[in-house]
Amino acid sequence: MSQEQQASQGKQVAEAMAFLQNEARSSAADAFDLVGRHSSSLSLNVFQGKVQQTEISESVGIGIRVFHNGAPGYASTERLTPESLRQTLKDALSHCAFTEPLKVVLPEPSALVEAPSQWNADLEALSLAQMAEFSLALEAAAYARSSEIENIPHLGYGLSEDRSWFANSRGISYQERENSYGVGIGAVALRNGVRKMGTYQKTGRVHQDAVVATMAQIAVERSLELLDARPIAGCELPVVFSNRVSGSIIGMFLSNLHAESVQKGQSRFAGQLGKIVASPLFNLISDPFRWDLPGASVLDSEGVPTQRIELIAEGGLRSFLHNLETAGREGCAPTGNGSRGYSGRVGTTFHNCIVPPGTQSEDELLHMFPRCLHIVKLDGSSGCSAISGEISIGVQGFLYENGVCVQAVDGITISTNFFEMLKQIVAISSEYNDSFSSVKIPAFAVERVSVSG
Amino acid sequence: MNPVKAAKILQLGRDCGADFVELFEEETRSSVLTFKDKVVESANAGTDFGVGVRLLYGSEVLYAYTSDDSEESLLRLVRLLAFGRTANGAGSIVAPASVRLVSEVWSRMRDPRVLGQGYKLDFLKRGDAAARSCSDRITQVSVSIVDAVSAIEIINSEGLAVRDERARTRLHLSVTAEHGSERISASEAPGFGGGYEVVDKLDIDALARRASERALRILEAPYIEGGQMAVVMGNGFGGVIFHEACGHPLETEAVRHNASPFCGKIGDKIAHESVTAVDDGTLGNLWGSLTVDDEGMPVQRTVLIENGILKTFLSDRVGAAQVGVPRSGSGRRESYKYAPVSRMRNTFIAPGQDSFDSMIASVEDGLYAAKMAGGSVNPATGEFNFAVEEGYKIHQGKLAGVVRGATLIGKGHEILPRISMVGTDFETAAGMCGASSGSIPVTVGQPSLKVDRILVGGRS
Repeated sequence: MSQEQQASQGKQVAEAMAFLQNEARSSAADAFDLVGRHSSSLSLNVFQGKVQQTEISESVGIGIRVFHNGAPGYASTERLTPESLRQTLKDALSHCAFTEPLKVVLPEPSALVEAPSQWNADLEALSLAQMAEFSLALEAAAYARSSEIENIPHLGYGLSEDRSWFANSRGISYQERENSYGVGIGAVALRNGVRKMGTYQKTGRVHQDAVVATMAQIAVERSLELLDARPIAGCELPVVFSNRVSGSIIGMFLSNLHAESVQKGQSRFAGQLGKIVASPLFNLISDPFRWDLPGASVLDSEGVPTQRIELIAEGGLRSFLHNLETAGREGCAPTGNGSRGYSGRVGTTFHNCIVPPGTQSEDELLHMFPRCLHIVKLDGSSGCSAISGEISIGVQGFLYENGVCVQAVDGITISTNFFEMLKQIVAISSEYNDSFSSVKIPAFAVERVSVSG
Repeated sequence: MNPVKAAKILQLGRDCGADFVELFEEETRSSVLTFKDKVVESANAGTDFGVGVRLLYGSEVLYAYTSDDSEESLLRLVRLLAFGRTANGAGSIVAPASVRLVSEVWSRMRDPRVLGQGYKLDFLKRGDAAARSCSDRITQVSVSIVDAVSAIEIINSEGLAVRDERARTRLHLSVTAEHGSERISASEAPGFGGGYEVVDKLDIDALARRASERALRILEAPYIEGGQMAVVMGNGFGGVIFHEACGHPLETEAVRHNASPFCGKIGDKIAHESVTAVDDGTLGNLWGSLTVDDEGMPVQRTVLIENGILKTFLSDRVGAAQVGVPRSGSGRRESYKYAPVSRMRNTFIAPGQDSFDSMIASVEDGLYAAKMAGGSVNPATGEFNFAVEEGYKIHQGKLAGVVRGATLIGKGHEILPRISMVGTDFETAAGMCGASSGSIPVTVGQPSLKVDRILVGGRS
């Protein structure tokens, strides 16, 4: 989208925000805050040497939270007409009749940490033609790397731009914008009637970081590496979760560190502050000032300044993440971890969830045990429960004996409990994967996991 | 949308050489009310609005969407999409006549927009009380109700101009049972097409008791010992396995990408002869039913597998043309923010001849997966995984106690031939299905059925 078009649509959102603020000020609301968003994107997919699908999008939306007699009410709209905005305010106010009053004080303007821009002007020049050229070259390179690549059903390139606005009744008004690109490939290899898919994606703000040859090589290697996999007999084994899956497996249980989960009795960490909940090797941080990662921000989506928070330090539980509403319920200060899109109520988020690295490489972790399972792929997540901590999930990977890979493995499941597993971590590697992700967790080794095959 | 404005946009697309041009306009009013732990956790409402424009050049899809429905905005999007393309010859459109209403759901329903949140709250409180009355081990109860009322207009360059008025309502009831440090959740989530006329008929007390009693049973259960074994899959939501492991690979969206084990197998025997599988969008107010699909085509009943033989695929416009099957009225999308692709509607394995008792009696050692949780599949490889919410060990032909922690993994095309018994106790259940055109409401269904061998994950 051109700069002029973006400016025009941005102006529409800003004007609608101002209109809704004025309406809210003259309403029965005691206090209010608003979030607005303008998103646009370009993307395409290629298949068998041709661009198969191209997509262009632009959308807007505004959400409002009002407080009446302390009770919050929410509503949102993607129509920015005066009638629709008035209806949205009316809906939000009507919802206050049903919710419980909270001791929430909306924040005032304050001095903020100076943040580097999360907008790369170079990306504005990235065209669909360039994306198509890259994607077609990537497809060709992947096929060229191995005759066993049967199909590449997933190959796409996208560029997204987001502008967001926040304002509240105490005078905070700010806007920010960010952009990023993403390119991903899923290649299917076929050998002896067995198909395996290898995927790799590169996302970030510097599109030159995506290199055709490297991406093709990684995706193809991943599709080939498990073609001869077979199950192993049921047993208990040490497991090394590769940094390809470490973020996914830990990430499924992060809600246990949200104060909202604790307050609702849905966190096994309730009542554990100050106690040991993990291996002494394990530390977990929310770091909003890692400007190289997508979760960086100086204000959360309720206008509260963010801060670096140690949640777990040397295995001890130190803190929970709060938004204004959970802090109001508990009578404590918010931690600046409120999260809200325009269409939903406030939730909680990490601003980059980081497990600091250990000292050993992932390969060294695999040498730690006489026999261990190296997991590189999780088969879905439906066997995992954040509430009970149960993990019963299909996995694929490699069996190692004395640091040597002896067999590729699939057709097995592992079973453990997340909260027990945290205490059984015996090593954390020094290497993150290269994803542009707000969850950065290195590979880690667990003493013992039950395997069914 | 004004037909004159629509005609200008469609004609511009044709002038740019597109073989087919389509507009999809949507306005949806939705609301959610959540009653959790005896207080209203959330009351929210919103309006989604936007227009999607699709241009087809053969099988190449160009799609754009915007919240700005002005003529200038939509013409600009078409120009952006078709950048650099021109027509070889004059491509005219069949000008849309007045937009034809194809559904009268709104006129028949108890309209959630009128009822207000107060009416819904009383209903949710009943569910909370019923769940808690089962045991003091039920420590948390969350009951929410979500409703959405949509007006959809689809206008295309072939002269189709339809308006579909849709409504959907879904209850979600989740309970957590607790004993010592153990916590187990169980849920029920019925959903229907329509407004509160169907909700009023729901026995929320029975649903709450069912979820609570299940959570309490699992709370006491030991872990299953994993391994390869025979599995009797429970009726109703057990159909999620067929949906994920076989339904998705039977969509032309997978077939046209050569990402399905069923490519080129129409007419082949792909399942046991006891298996007949159907996807039917016409079934009254079932959660996945529609009047027309999101390309404006009337939905239909599509027999996918008949007595083990693959008959056809589920198709949208692009998929049907590319794969060479008739369109089945299965082009679906979450909202105007997605281009439509072939998706399931109400998908089920048809009832067979076997009794539930005879299935259990035929298993020496195995698992009865009474209630499935979620799962996923990679259509390109067929690999699937599903969690079992409530399972029972089968020993010497009898149910031998509840077990927890079971996960089923395998490949869909390998499991189909291993279905050896199909029951008579057919049921359906509502669910949400995620894929490239977003998250859409679908129904899954089946009678109880027996799979001779499948890998069950558990503890060794």
